[in-house]
Amino acid sequence: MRIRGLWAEGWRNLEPLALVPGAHLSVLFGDNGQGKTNVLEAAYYLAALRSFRTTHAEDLIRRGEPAGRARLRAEVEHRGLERRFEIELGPTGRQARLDGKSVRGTAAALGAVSVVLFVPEDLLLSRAAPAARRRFLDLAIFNVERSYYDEASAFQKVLRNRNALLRQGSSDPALLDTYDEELARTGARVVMRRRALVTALEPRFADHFRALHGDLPVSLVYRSDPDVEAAADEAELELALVRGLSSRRAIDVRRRFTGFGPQVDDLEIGFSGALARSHASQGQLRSLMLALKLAELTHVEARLGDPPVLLLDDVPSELDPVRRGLLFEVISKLDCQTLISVTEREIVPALSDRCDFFVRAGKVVAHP
Amino acid sequence: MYASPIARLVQQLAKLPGIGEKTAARLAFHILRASAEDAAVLAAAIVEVRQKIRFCSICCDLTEADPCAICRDQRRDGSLCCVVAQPQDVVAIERAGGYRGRYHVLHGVLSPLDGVGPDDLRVPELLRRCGDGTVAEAILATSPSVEGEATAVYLAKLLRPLGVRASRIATGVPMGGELEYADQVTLARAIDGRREM
Repeated sequence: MRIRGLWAEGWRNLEPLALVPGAHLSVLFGDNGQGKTNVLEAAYYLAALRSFRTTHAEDLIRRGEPAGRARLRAEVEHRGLERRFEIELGPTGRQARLDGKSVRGTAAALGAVSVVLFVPEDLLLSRAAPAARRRFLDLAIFNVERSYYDEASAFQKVLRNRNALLRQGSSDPALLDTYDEELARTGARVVMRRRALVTALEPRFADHFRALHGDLPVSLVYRSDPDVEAAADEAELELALVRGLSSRRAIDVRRRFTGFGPQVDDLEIGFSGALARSHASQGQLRSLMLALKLAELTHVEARLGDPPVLLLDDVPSELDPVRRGLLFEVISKLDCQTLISVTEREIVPALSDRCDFFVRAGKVVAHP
Repeated sequence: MYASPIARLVQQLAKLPGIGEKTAARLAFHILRASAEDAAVLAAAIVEVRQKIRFCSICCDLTEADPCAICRDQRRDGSLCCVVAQPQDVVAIERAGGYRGRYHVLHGVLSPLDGVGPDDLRVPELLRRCGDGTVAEAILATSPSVEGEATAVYLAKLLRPLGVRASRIATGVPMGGELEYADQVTLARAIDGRREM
């Protein structure tokens, strides 16, 4: 996929933006706080319908914007097909249009633009809370399985309902049984999707890591409760989840929340036969996380049959020259269009037809 | 500011779902311009609907005469009971034709998150009806949303011990619809729920 043009109005601190990125590498440079990340955020929002920095839409709309609205537009090319995707954000909510036609529902609007985002926090993922790793998995699945958005939302809603029931101190066993079964049914689907992703990522992850550190064994495992892990297919998973929920019901009733299920699962990153976060060095951890993000990128490319657009927010400056070298090697091998934000533009290698843009006080201008 | 009788009407109309202040004002001025007789008929209709419509003591649908016309109709199959969330669902199924059983209206679906439990729905009435042996099969016709699914699963649990067969309406591709335009979840369900030919 290529972004042919990116437009933004009323977005964050940006002056009306009309960016024509290079086909390969575009570098947004300038001091901190000038708006580089806001440009990447606009591209990300068009793909994910959410920001990676805030959950409040009002944060995204330029302060003092008279109509209180922000507009984003991207013209993209995907396997020879050109499409125009627009989003308008305002006090009455969000409207999305694909080729001028209104698109209803988040699930339908996802995937019009496909991007993989890489931010410095990703390098710390192995030591972050398990929720951050589940989120990494879920976001990576949204990129390739559009229907997963509705599946994951259904699971979350059942979970919130079960927790509400526990808080209300309900004593109706049939009602709790109902939410156990529904949680198991929707949860089994979530576990299947996440497992399939981890299985697809692992060999890619190992390859990228090997390129940096040689033949050290690494592993990627989707960790659930042991009984749930033993379940081979969706039907068995559903049964194992129901068993686990009912055997721990007394605890859940006492604590008034659901302590068992896919919402407490984790992605386990293994290194030399042990847990990476307690056994790998700082530098090895960074390499592991870089390898994981590159695995995501190459996986999305393989699944979509076209490389996604890569957004690198300040990442090159967080990597040493060797790891940076691998990152750019993979980028140019995949031939994926890349947008980078950096403070020092010299840090990015002068790859073929690189385009530079200078960002200052919300203005983005091409820099020869 | 409007004269106070107008303001009062606007305020009352604006309480209706989907009606904002502006629409309410437009409706109020329309009523003012219409003949006094039209206004009286409208007012009487509003009063009448509240006075005359009640819940059917059998199926809990809205009705003028209790029991309702469907519950009184002897040609209907009393062993079949279609359980729906809203009175509008009865209208929709009746309009479709073909169904000759009776109904039960829950007036909502389970949603602990919004504080809606079984006692807020017409569940006790359904169990009482199904306990006397006349109903052989309950067709659970709530929508295939998170809340509708949970409601159906819950009712099936309560109905089975009473010796009532619980069935769930099928979900899948709409008639006259093109496969390529069906969303992925619907298609996957249609494949799962396929039948032998």
